[in-house]
Amino acid sequence: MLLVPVGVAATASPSPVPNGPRSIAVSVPPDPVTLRPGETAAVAIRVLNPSVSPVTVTVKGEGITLGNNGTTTFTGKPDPVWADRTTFPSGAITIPAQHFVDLSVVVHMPSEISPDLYYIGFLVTPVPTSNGQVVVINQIGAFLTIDVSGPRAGSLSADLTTSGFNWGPIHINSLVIGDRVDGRLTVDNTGASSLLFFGENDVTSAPFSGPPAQQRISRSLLPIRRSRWFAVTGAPAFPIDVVTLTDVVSYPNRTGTGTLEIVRTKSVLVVSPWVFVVLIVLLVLAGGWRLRVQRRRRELRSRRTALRSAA
Amino acid sequence: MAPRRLWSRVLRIVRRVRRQALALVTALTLMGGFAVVTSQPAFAAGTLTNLSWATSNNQAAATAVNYSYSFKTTTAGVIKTISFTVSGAGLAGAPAIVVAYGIGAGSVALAGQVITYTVTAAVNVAAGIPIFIEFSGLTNPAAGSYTTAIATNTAAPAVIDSGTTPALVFAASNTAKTIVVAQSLTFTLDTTAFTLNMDPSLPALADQTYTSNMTILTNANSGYTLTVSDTAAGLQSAAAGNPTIPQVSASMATAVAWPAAPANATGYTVTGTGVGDAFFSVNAAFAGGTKYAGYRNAGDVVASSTKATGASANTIAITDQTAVDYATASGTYTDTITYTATPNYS
Repeated sequence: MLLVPVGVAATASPSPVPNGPRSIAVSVPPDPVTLRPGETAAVAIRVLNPSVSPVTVTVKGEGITLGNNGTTTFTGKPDPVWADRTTFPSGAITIPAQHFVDLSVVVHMPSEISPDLYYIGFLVTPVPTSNGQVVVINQIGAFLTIDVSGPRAGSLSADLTTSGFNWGPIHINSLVIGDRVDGRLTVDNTGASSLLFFGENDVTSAPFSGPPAQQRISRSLLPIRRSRWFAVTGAPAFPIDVVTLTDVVSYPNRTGTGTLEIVRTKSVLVVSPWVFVVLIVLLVLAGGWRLRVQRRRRELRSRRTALRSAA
Repeated sequence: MAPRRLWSRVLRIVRRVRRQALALVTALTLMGGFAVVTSQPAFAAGTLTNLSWATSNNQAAATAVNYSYSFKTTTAGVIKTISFTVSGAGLAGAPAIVVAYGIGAGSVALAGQVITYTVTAAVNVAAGIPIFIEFSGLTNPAAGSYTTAIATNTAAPAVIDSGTTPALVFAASNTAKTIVVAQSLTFTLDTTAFTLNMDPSLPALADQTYTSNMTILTNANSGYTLTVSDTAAGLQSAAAGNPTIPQVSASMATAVAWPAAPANATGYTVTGTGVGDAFFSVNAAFAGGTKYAGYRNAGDVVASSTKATGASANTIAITDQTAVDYATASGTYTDTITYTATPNYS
């Protein structure tokens, strides 16, 4: 009787189908592919199989949503703009172990399309070949970026916020008790086309100035109605100092021949916690000195009184 | 007696004032000394420092080349234009601004050998500011050694600072080397299917887990997102009536602690380590692997990284848990769970 639960326990352990790990990789062109309105072109993608057994995959187009801060998600439905304008490799594609296949996605550009960046999403999905009640699939979503050249109506807005001083219900934005100012630069695309922007956070301090500090924000893509934020910091040159963050966001003008900029500035009084320690020590010393002086005065007075009474 | 007392009081006040004045002077001196220590070093006025010039292609007469210039100002001044005069002859193209750090927005024009960056709104630039400007769309001159004389100018125009970059060699005999690294993502899963043999009669058999381990590597600048989804029917049996095992929660947002036995539920939790990637995170709804979410067909983003992983993969463990009791109809339940890794745009 005792053997029964042991036997049951032995068969109860999860029993994955005997197969090794499955690994796939997908590579796309690193830069946007430039296409003209009405043009038909094949854009190369690569599917790789780094694992030690063959993998069979399918490739299909799907709608893509570009979110804030670069996040990319799939809609689960065909893209209404590109579904009829793209041709993906059909059927199941088997990739031998440690091999890759170069595939083409044929893109038929509409004859009338505004200059902008466009994103064509697709999913590379392994075909399940294992037996098991619960099948697990590692799928890769990727996208191609198409660039239609020409003047574009881009517009950005930017906002700079700093953490400030917070103590219970007390909030003072222009004061920091600490050794630096932490802020956030948020850039929003308020225009009608995607934009590539770059920026910088310049830090100066007064009345005690240190060497200028410059934090650079590399070129970043911002689709329409999306935002990105960046952590910015500034350190004072002295334990008590006013730190000024000047954040500049630059982006191409309508024709791309020059740049436009947005400047946001914030000044914050930074007080090091050590200042309070030093102040407390000074107050204690001053209080001690004061007590000592008063005691000496009292002693002098009593001595004088004693002398007078003796006289 | 009264005048003497008054005189001694006056003397005391004078001594106190003297002491306080001395303390104030000492404090100011210390602060002043600190300011001197922390102030920037002096430069020889009028000479740009740290000049450099780099090109994306040094093949003579190559087109669509980028030139990158960097330097530091030495004199504070209101800069309206910056001129980059390339020595010799043969510079051509239609330059555009790729990036410009340390200087305001502007436009660029090429006239002969001079590339001029014009600041839209002339701005006061302090001494010691690093400036980096990259232009695209240039055509290299003929083979030879070239330098660029850089000058920052006021609107007058009057030169504020100037300097010359080290020489750059354009050569016809060079082999231009261009390496294109694709944007790539590798996604590895340690299993492709699993089966749990369950029985409601014994706790050890009635509540079981299976952990799928996965690794993700990507060079996408903004990292990636990992989404978990399953079929619309969920964990369903093909038996009469198509019974299902309910999801433990409607979605990841409403993740809950795993219910105590007896229970009839299925779900998952996620833990992960972002090896080499400080920007990796698992959704907080899982509370470090202590809360469980139900699968849903629309999918939930369970983990993400906001930067490229680098050469060390992010490792993520997704633990599938299922509990059955005598309310669970007997049969074989099946589901397909899909993990989707998607590189973020940058």
